[in-house]
Amino acid sequence: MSAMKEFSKGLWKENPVLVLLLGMCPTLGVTSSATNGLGMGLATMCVLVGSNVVVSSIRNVVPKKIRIPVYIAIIATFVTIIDLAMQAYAPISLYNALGIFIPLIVVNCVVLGRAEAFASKNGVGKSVMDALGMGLGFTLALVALGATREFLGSGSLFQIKMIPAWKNDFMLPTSAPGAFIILGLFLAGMNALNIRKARKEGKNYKAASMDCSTCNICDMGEEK
Amino acid sequence: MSEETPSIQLPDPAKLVVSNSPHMRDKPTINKIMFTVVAAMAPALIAAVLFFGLAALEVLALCTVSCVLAEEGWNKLMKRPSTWKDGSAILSGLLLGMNLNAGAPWWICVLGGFLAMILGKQLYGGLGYNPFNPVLVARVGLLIGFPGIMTTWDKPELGAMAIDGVTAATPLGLAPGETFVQDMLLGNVGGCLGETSALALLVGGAVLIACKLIKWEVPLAFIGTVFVITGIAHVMHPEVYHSPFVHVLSGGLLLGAFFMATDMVTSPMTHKGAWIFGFGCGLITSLIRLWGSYPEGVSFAILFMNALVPLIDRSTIRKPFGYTAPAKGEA
Amino acid sequence: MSAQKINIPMLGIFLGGVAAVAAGLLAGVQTLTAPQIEANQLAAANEAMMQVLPEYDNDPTLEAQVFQSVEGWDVTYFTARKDGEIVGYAGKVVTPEGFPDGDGNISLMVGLEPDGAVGTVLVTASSETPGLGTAITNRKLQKTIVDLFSGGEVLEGLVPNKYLDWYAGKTAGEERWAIVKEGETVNGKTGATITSKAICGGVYAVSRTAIEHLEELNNNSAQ
Repeated sequence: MSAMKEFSKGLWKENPVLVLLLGMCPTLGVTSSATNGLGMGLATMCVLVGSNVVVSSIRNVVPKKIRIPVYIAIIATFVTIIDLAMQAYAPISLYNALGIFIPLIVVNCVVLGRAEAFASKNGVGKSVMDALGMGLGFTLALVALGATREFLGSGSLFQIKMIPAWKNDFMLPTSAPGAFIILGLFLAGMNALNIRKARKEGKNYKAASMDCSTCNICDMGEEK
Repeated sequence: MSEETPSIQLPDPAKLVVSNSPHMRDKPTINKIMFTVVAAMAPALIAAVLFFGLAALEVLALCTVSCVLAEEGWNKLMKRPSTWKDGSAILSGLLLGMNLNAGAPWWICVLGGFLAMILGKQLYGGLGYNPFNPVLVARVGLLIGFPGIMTTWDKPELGAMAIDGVTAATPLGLAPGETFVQDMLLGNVGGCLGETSALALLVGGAVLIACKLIKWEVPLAFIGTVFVITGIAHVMHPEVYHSPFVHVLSGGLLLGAFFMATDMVTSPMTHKGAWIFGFGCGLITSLIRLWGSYPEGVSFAILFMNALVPLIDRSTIRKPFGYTAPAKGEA
Repeated sequence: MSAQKINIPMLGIFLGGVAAVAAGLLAGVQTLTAPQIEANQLAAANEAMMQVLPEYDNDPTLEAQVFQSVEGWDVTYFTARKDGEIVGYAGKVVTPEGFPDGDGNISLMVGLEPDGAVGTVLVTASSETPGLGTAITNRKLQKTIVDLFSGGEVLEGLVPNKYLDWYAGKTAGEERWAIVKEGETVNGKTGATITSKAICGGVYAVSRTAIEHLEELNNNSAQ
């Protein structure tokens, strides 16, 4: 696979949020506004690039038995660096809004998933492209969700009112139940698009199956 | 859409399968059922218009029109046959209107219609497939969405034809002792359109039971549970909790128990299940009313129990006579 | 990698090495960012004070005094001065009378004139119902797309809030102020009576306690 392909697969075909359904906790938790989605997405992307680079460059040195703790240590280090950096240099309101979710990037499945499924098996160059693509895909999905929720809620985008006449804020899309509803609609839309595309090509649409036979994140049942 | 996705496995026809409710032995059409329910609602509708005037009429009309338009718009979009003539959208619209304040702005009605028909019903596949009562989905969506507007009630005035009402608190929001059972029976209390007149709702409920359109177990268990639990609370702390009569007659309890919880699609099929369902609704309603932060819990209770209906149905289904369970390990 | 033998000490040493490198890296980053983070936190803490007080040149946190209000709440007063003269006080109080849905606490920062009259009121923390109670507590700037394109005036300083601005210029007497709900000047909102009353009580407590202890406030400052 070419480097470009590694990059672009994260944007749509294997989008971490809308197809792989990874990292649901920050996805649902922080996307009450487009700004929050963007901040969270970029922070995750930074961690992802850093951890993928380090994991792939030491992939031949790390003993297999302790690879997961080593990955966690690497990811946790990057997350703490991002946390401190945001605390120091990001706008205080953004840092407060993302709050608990920044430390929780450590356990975001996207990051550990890419380290284990991709970076530990591929070279540094490819891993960077993979991290950038996945990170961007994550960011785009979060911004799209955040923007939709914010717009439906108060008619604004990035805290700027798009419809000045909108006086009463609609609390449903920006609340927790709204997060589930809007994410569900996004997933439905994504599937509808894919089904339509498959039908145009005359194929039968097969949803991305999430069972152990196709997933390569862990070596479940596989003797190595 | 199901016939277009061959990947879905049809159940083995050799096995007996219980399909979605309702199950009828005669041949009532959806149409007939829907319009009987509307007729049963007539006393409550008339009471609402009497107490809130033209504003009530306006809200009811707007809700009905927007429900029908939302349903038809979705059908057009999905290239499905038109369904509004079966009356279910009209009924949902009227029920939605009954759940709103007479002074509700027009966009609340329109948004409510959209939420009920699209989010509550059509996204699940239309009439008969929705797990939750569409009207309550809309009501709760609006309540979470606009807590300010949805908890401000107009004060009713008999024969009032003014559009601008005076706001009043719902009886449940008042301190115990400030409410009068008589007023509540007739409808002279603040609240949404359908909750004001308990008497009119009781008449409508009696009609529904007489026509065998609803299971009488549901409202009885629902109201009975609320009465008992709030009664115990009232006896123990009369200065903190309202009397059980206030609880039964106020808020959306009667409306919910007779017209919402008994919705054929979203309530259990079995009689035993209906008891459980009604009891659960009553329990959750009482808990929210007595200790929750919302004054009213009927809608939340019914929606919550809606989610449990498949489970209730599965565990209360009647065994065929002479049926013996297969030995363990075979299944 | 396939045929590795289990060598626990080796694995331990490897993991320890990774942890040591990570710890070293983090120590470095922390040293780098610590001053900035500290400055940010101080700025956030003092921001509310700066917003409710007129221009001052001392550090009011050094001249803090705590008095108890009639209700039994602790009110902290910070004295602000310019060229040694008192220009005002900032009174900080937490009233427990807020909406019990959350924790019911509302934190207020109230700017006072040197004579104890209320100036600017700011709610620094609350758990009121969004859209209901928050209409009273928030001073949130709402930019619209029209402002963006007209390029017109950008609002400087505090965003007006008619419920909070009602208190400006009021001086506490024997009784709490009444809640006014309708008309041009209001301090109460229909549907959010509890929040309105809680804020009214909090602001009253700050003003009244200041007037009761005005002498001590002045004397302390005169040192």
